[in-house]
Amino acid sequence: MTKTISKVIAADVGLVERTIAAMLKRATLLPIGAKVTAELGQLAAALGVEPANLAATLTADDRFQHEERGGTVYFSTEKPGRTAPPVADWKPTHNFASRMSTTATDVSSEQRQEISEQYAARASANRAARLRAREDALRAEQESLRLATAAAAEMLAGQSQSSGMDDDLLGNDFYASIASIEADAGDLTADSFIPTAATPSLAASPVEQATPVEQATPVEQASPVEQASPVEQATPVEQATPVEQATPVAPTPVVAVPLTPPTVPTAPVVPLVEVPPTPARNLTYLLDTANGQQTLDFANNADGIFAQYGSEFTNLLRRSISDDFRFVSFAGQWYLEDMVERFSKGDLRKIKDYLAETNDALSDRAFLADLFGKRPEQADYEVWRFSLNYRLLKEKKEFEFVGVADERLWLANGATLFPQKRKASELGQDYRFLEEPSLSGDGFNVVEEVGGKQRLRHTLTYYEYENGLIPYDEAAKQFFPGPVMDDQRAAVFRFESPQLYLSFLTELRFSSGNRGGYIVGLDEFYQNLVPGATFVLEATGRANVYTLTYERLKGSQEERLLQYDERRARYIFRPVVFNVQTDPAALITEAKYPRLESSHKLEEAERKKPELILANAFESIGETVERDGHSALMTLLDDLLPVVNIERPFSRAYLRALMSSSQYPAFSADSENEGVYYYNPGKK
Amino acid sequence: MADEVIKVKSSDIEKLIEWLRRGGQPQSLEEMSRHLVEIMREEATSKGR
Repeated sequence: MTKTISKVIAADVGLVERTIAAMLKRATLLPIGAKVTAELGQLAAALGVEPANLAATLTADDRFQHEERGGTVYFSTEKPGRTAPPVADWKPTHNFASRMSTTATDVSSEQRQEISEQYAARASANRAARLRAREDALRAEQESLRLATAAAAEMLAGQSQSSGMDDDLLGNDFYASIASIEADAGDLTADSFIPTAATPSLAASPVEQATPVEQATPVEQASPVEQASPVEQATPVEQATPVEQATPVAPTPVVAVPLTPPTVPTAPVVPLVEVPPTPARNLTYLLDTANGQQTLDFANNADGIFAQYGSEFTNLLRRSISDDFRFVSFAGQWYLEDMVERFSKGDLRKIKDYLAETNDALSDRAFLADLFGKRPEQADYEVWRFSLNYRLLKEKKEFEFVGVADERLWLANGATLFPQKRKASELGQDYRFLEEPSLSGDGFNVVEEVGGKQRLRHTLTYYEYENGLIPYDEAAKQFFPGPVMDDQRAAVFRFESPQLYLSFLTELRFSSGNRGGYIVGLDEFYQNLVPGATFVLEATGRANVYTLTYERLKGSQEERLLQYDERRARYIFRPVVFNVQTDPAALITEAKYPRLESSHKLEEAERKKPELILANAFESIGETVERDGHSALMTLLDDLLPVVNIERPFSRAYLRALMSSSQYPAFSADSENEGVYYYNPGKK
Repeated sequence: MADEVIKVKSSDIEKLIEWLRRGGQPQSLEEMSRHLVEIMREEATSKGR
């Protein structure tokens, strides 16, 4: 009996191990300790045993858990094994510091950055100081050279007169030397501001200056043959060159050696030191300025002169080089025509294809990087950039510049970034009044100054909401950059709305001729607002990127707002829930304007006449009153403004001007109550 | 002697061209005008009157 039991137990032990082995085969990818489950039937089939026996064996073993789900029996076990204990106190022992520098200390990334910045600042300061010192040395050198030359010439003239010595006696070599010195001075002038052309300091030591005295020793002078040689007499001029940088002592040997007998060996050296300084020269010139001719003194520092008369010099230069074919310019930068990189037709085709592929406004940097493999760190990058822009600008049939200042964007000519409900020409005509400064102001854009930064606050009208626009009025002109090119049609901006995680392109279409300007492309953003909402635009570090923000209300607001029902082709009021800050005076609600319900859109011909829009608005919201013995409609300017802006844009100033104009006698202002206006339909 | 009226001479332009050529980079009009002042000043100083 005992033997039988032990046999059974041994068989069970073998079965348990085989079961575990079978289950682990399907748990290869599971971590140690993970639960491994298998169906009893599948296990029994795999092991070739009866399910009942296997169930009994596994149930008896505490390593297995028995489960029953939906009538099916499962056994599960944990994947056995040991995990390595985590290492808590590991320290690197084979790093750079321990191998290469035993005295090195660890620094944090902040300290490392600080050290790098300090080093860069010191290096920059040293470089600037070196350049300044080199320029100063060159200027001093040049001035002393000129003084020495003048003094030498003067001295020679005096000596030759008093001693009766003529030019032949001095020898032509001397004048050749003077000429070469002057030529050198000219070269120094030309190169003096180009750091790479800097020459080593030529400052002479006093010992060197004394050298000519030694040459004038009595021994040499005692030899009549040597004295008679004009060649030797001229030689000391060259030897005396170092003196030119400091004092006019240099020419002394020239005069002293041949003319004075051995009895006066060194005397001429002394009086030459006392040569009176060159008299002060007149360096004043006249400069034509906007305020008439001004006197300018070139003895002053060049930076000071430029600070005072920079714009005059810039205008002078512009006039001089704008018609000079050797110069070319792009967006305020100038370069030499023969230094510009050339682009083939194939290159231009690549750019055109790239623009067509992306159907986007792309920057010059994108073309250089993606099509020409140019990187900003390359020395010729700016030349390539300038050349590319200059060339693209010449291809007006193919490319259109839509950039600002340093962000140079290009579009394929004729590409449409923003499909519009209305034609660009119609929108431009609608905003025509913006070109009259007196009518452009007092609109829906306001420039604010917050924390030293400019912001543009805008109140949205129905017309803008429907067409995705912002008017380019006086405030917007102050806020956005103007065109870079004289004939620039548009500039493409990126607007980012951090509140909505939106980033989209917009296009500022500059005003031209009798068309007003506007920004287009805000349709998607406006889907989150309602007409009458206010939002703020703020510039970023990049000239063509702006952030858009609006104030969210704490709670939602529900109003019945005016909307256009395309199916019924009429305006209706619908309940709208919104949580954006609005200007209550600009909201078109049913409570305020109930008679706008079911009104029709004006015909296009009617819409083009502002007086018809005005009359229509008066009839929709005006109150009938008696005026000058006739029946008239009365309303407030503030109430009228949002309503006329449904069909066409109007600024407050434009509206006021229209209703005060003698051209439209049907409209009149109340002389006693400001902001009250009347419409008398009989006075057309 | 009456003061001379400042004009941009062809020699000034030549020096400016040389400067641009050596610099090897496009320049703004302002930067070029600044250098023009340097050129004119150097010329006036070296010439004297």
